[in-house]
Amino acid sequence: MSNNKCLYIIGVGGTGSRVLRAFTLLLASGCKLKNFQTVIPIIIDPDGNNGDFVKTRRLLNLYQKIRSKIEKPKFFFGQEIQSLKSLEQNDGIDRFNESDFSFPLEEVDTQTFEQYIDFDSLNDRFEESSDDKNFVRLFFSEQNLKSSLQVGFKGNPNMGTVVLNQISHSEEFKKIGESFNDGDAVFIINSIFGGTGAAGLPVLLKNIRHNPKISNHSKLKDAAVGAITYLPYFSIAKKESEKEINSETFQEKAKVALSYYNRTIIGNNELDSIYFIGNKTKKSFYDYSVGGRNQENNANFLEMVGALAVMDFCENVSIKKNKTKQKTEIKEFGLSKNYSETINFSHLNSNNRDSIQSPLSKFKVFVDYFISDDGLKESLNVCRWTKDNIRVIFPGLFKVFVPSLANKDSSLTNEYFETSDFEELKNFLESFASWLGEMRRNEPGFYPFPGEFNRKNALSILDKNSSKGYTSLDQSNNTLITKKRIRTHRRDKNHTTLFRLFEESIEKYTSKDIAK
Amino acid sequence: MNQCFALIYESLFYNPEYQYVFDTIYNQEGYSQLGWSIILSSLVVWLIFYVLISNPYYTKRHWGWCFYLIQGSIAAVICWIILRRIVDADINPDDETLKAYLTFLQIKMSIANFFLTWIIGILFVWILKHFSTHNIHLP
Repeated sequence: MSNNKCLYIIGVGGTGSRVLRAFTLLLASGCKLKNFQTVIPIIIDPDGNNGDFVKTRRLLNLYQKIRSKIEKPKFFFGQEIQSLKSLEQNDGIDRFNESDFSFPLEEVDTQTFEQYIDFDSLNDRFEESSDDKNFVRLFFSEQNLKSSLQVGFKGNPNMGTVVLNQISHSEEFKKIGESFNDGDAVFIINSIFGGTGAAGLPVLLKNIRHNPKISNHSKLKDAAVGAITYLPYFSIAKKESEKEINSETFQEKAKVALSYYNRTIIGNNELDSIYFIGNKTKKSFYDYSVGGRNQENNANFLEMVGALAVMDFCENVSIKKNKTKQKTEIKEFGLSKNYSETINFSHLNSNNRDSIQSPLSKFKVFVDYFISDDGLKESLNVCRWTKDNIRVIFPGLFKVFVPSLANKDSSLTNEYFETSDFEELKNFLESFASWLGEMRRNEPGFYPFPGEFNRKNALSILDKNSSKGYTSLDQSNNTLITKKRIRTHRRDKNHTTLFRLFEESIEKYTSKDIAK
Repeated sequence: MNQCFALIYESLFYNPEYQYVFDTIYNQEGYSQLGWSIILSSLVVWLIFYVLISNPYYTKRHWGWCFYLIQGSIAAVICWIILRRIVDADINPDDETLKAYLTFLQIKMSIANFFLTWIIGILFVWILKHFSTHNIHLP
């Protein structure tokens, strides 16, 4: 069995993309999966221009690029993320592409649903008992048939099931089979109240468990498979002129689909674990959009909960790996206590809190330092850890007698902070900040860092009893910058020093309560 | 040490008309005190700057250069005090010309001390900066 165990996470539809966004940001902050070394995210969405989809693909791509420039990442960006494509590249050259994370669906770009199923070629001669057209009309309304597939299935799983069936003979699914090893697992994220997501889970499971044409099928069919199914957790603002998606039907659709899942997926124990996440009260209203660029919804706390479900699945999967087929474990998410305005760490159960409090707090300090006006901007070219003009007398003598004093130059100078690599990192950090902001503004609101922070008290995020700020962080950076363990000689790993430096400095000011 | 420092100061300020003044400073170990005041004020100031102070933002405010002014000023004041003490205790001038000369000599030697600390300071900076955490890149 390979030591490098992979978790294939398949996000289906808009919700799948949004949960993967939250998951990627949690991994960047330092959350790590137990029992799995590599994560392979795959997004299935016929709507290639969907704002959430595009955002997540970009984020995953940035994650890969940033991580590839850190030598042996320890905390931030600690978990390896690969795409199916990058997994099969073994030439040592990093080639990252946003599109590598998507699962391309054919013939959905330009066609309507009736063109896709070749409706016109069907018979409609009822006198000859071959009235296929009307038979098809029993399952699909006229609106379904005329609907363009470019923006997805607009909340119609009956369409989704047909189109997503092409997964069974797709190149990408073949690649999953070819790369799948013993001990690897699959996790599927979908919503039950939409179109793409609700259709995706049964189709994917059918192929994973019962498609012998896929390579390594013997491994896949017995692999651990988990899933999150989202019950309605947001509503869509009503728009009289557009009625293709109506959030009033979400509840009804969810009930019907749940009943189907219960009879088939859960009843046949196709999954090891299934997580149900939903929200009945204090729902947020998203702008109406059938898809495309406009479908870009603000991050929701429940999507982060989905990421926590993935972590829970990974933690518990090893316990069952040697056992024969078990009953599907059904889990629901709940808060440990009621909240009034926004949810914070104290409302989470201890397991969830321990998983994210330390990474999120540390990464928040890291992010704020680089994107605020009083962090890096104040110290760049001022603090010793950003300077490379350090001259020692008789460097040759120092090199021989006191090697530690021979080279004290920092590699984190203006030159580094002006590179496109750092620009990419900054873009990623800004995404994290806006993700936190979106969750704070959404319903239910999640903001675990009460209070306002500035350069004088920024470190109180890590220790509520501390009133330290960026001066302390810069002092610590100055002390650490010359340490051998912080530095790297590898030019291709140019983020290494920055990450090692800040991870160690931030850790120094983290209280034991948070660090545990 | 007294002789060594006397060489420096007398090569700069010796006036045979007032040999009595210079002999007195020499006999009271005055040159030695002046020399050590330069070395110690410079050493203390740069030790504080490089080793004790942990402010990471000195470059921004050009305070590195301010410390040159501080060490010079301290040395100048100490020089004035040392010479004043010797003049008051051992020379005790009663004629106005001598008084004026001594005051002028004190001013000249204090200014000289101010600049001499810069020379000594550069030496200490070269050495002490290697052991600094926050200000190794300064001045």
